[in-house]
Amino acid sequence: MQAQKKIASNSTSIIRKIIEDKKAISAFIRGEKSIKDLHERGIKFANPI
Amino acid sequence: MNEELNLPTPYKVFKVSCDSEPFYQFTTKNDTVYDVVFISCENYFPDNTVCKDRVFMLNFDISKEVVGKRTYDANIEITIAGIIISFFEGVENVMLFVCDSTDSKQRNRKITFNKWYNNHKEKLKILKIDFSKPYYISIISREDNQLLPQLHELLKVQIEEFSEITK
Repeated sequence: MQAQKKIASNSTSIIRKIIEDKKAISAFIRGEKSIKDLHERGIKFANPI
Repeated sequence: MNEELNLPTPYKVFKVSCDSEPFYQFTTKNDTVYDVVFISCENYFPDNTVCKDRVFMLNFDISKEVVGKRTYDANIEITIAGIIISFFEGVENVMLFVCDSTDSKQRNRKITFNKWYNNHKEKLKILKIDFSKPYYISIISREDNQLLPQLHELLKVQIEEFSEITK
């Protein structure tokens, strides 16, 4: 039961983090948040091209 | 210093950086500036050593525009598609696309992105798996990417559990 709760809790936090990170990145592009704000959320830019 | 990428796109795409963080930028004929930002998804899959290094979240939006000059411009779609084509030159790269829900226009974004995807998918030879509830999230990869089934299952489980919990 504890293990199930832990998995559920992880799922909630991962999906919620993806959604909240998306909002933060969109705000950064619009100039409403800084790189520092994104770093505080643990967001890392990538250069895959 | 901004570095021009050699992409065959109607608008020139530049690699720029802000506080040493890299992203991409192009300017339309109406002087509208688009930023294209890729984010590493390693934090979302910390226990999956295969997925965490190959999955990136795509983000793009207007960063600067001249008021009153916004018009339909097909070259925006073609330029974004060119960036995505270049991204998928990395065979194992996987893209996560999430529709921003800040202003409740996520459905419009989904429709537009789907239209763009359908216009270019055959040329790209890519597959897209969509989740619609509780958020619009898509996983996109090349057809020959062996990571896709694994990532699909991983995200499906996460989203189903999240949907159950937040009911």
